[in-house]
Amino acid sequence: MVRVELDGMKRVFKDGTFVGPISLTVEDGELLTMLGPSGSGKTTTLRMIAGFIQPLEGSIRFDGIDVQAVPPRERGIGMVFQSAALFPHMTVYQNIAFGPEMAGWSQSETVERVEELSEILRIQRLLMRRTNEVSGGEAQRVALARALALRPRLLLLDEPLSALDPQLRERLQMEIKEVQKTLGVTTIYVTHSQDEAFAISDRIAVLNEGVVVQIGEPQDLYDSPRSAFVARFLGSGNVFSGVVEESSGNTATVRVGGHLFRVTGSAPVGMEVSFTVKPEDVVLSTEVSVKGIRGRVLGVVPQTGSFRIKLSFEGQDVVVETNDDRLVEELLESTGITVSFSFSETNAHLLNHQV
Amino acid sequence: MEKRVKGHITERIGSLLVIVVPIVILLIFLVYPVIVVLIGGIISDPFTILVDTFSSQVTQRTLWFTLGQAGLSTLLSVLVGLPGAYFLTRFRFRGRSLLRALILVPFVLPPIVVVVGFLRVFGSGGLIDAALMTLLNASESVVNLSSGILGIVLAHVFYNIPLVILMVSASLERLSPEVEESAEILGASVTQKFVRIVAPQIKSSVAASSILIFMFCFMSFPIVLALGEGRLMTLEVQIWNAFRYFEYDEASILALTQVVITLALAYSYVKLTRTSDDGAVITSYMKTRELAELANRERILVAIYVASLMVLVAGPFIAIVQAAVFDPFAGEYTFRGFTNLLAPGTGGGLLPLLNSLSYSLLATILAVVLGLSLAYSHKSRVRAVPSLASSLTLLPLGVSAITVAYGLMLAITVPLGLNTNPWMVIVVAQTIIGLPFSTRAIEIALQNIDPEILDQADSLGASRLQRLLYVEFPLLAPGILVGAVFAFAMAIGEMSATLFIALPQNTTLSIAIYQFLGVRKFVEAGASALIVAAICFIAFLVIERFSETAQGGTP
Repeated sequence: MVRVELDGMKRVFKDGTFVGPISLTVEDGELLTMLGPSGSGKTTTLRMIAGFIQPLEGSIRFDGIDVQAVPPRERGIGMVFQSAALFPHMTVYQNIAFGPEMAGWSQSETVERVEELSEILRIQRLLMRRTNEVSGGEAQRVALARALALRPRLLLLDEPLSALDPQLRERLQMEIKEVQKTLGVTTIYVTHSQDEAFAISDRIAVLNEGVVVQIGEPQDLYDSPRSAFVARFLGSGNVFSGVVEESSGNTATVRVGGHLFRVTGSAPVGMEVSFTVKPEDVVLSTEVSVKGIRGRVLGVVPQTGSFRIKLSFEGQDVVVETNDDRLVEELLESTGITVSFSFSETNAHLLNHQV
Repeated sequence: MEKRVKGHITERIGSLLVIVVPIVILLIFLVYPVIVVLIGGIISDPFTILVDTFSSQVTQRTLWFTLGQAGLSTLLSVLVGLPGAYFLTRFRFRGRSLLRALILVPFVLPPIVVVVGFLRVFGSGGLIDAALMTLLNASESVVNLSSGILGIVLAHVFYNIPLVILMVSASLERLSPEVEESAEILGASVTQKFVRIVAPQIKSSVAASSILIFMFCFMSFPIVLALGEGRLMTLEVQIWNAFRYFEYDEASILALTQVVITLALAYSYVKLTRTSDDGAVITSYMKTRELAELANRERILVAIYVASLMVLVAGPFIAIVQAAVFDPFAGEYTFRGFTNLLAPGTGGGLLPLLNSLSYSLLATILAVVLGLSLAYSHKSRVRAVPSLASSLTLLPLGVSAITVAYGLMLAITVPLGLNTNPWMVIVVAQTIIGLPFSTRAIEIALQNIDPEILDQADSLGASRLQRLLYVEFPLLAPGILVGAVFAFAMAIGEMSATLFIALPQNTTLSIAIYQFLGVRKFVEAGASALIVAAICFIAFLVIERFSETAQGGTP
């Protein structure tokens, strides 16, 4: 379909906030997610790609051609908003047919296209309804059909599922991914939910304070976050901060409070560093030794298929994920007890010298 | 035990009285007089009077002029107001909320006060004329935009632009900008976007505001009287004229004609606003654009628009200040207008000032008492009472001030022999004309009281009276204040009915302004107008301030 390149794109707002510089490449047929907390600039970036906002610096290229002078309607894009933004005074059919109509398609072509899309998105029975007679999930399907009607080269989705309830959201995530793969349309998806990003993306670009802090495949980001922000935001992370005591080859010893941890990575001795350990890599034990690293249990929360246990350690929270029922039972019987925890050095990674 | 039951009965009688008394009062002082007027027109020999009246050239001219100027004023108001509505809804800029509030100002200004400002800006020797005279080096007046049909229409447009902006921007706010962006991405041009997306959304609010504007202009009296040079008449003016020349049959038949048309308009307005709520958008959170995002060409257009809106809307308002101290004949500044306000005797301003203040004060007290009980009857569970109460309250909006005054003269003043000093009737007329507004303000406050708070008072053992005095009234206080302020502002600015009823000793400020203008005492008119305008502006500030808190402080 189309390969999108953003090159040093930047926009400064009147109140001093800014977005960028953002450099990013979205491959042909790829589904890339821009993930970040609210205010991180993801929607602004998306709107710059759509052409609603002009960047002050940098360039946007579609298949190598600069599109900055091209108005939104000529960029060959389809867009879906969180609010669905259906045309209120039209039926579902008229909504989907709007694009083809504007483009001057023949009646039969338009009907054919609307039928095709409504079959893919399973909204045939809604076609004659008014837009205020469809539910939130249906509205998003209609909005998607409408955005795809003109066979766009690029599909932009701005938090399309954020207003829906969790179950419906999960189902629609799968459907969007399926439709996207079937049609092979290059897609940029904006969300603030890491679950959604993991469920749907080929690649994820994590944004914070207007810049891309890390980009990669979901598993990569989860396994090796490069900064404390990414680790925390993706929920992959317990982040510990301390000082390097010893370093040899690709392992280092870091002192956190009064405790020593062995971690993977290298850094000069004496440097302040951070490292992360994923919740499922922390091992808990109720046998407390004097030398072991101890934490107090703050709470146990059941998850699907596992339990999440929160410990207090040196004034910070440590999250542990386990499916050891016997251990959980013991913890539930005596809340507030002290346990010891450990992790192997191969599961602990130094972050890029960033706090 | 017995005491409790007895107390219960007195409470019930009390609450029944609260509901019944205002309805009876309105039946006596509004419905009965209006019916007397309307019936008077058809009772003796309806056919002959009808033919006589409508075959006369004067009536025909009046009718066409009334419809024509109302139509033209409506069209222009909508055309000028629409871009403003769009601009206010879609753009974010410094002073936006201030501008939004200021746009309401013409709303609270009495028409006769507007006329003073209007003459100063657009009239002969006015600001525009003076500027052109200097520019062209002319010694005589170059343009006079304030007289004749042009002046009347311009003044009406000034008056009604705010209405269009308010009503249309309210409906635009329900259309998410994302909907427009979706259309844009799908290839709609600016025109297509307007025709297919924006127009259907604002259609009903444009229609509703058009009907209201048409109705206001159709019943226009002070503006036409002051700017029409005696030859241009609306139906309202001709009714007044007919009454003055003892043509009671003609006056009645004209009033009947007018009522039929205005009630039809009012009915279609109510119909329209009831059915137009079905286009609800699924979700729409407001997004606004920065002015800086506009292209240069668009920015110039916006600047021109805002500038001309300023001249048309803010100009007359500011000009009132100048009119109060500038004598256009002598070409000098003077405080003569204000000293005249303190001068007793004929031609002096003291009597009108005192009359205005005392009548308005009395009307305000009456309006609050009536408004409170009417607001309660709207909540009554007795069948047909709420709808009867609300139609009675809204009736003065559909029946013109002149008709109300004519009715009061015919049915109350003359039979009761009050015509030697009809000050009480003036107060009644001013009360009735302001009643829709003051009642509405109190009603809104009453609706906003959380019923659970009242239940709480009940459960703590408060009697109905205690609950009313210690819980409901304090909560209602801001609403009552707003209602009172509305009543006062409406009463002090009221000119039509007052002019109709008043004898020379009953002259109010509004009438004085009209009379000063008639004898070309512009400074005196200006000073009086400034006083009234200041009172209305303060009223506006109070209303702005307290209607927000009364509605729970919506930002």
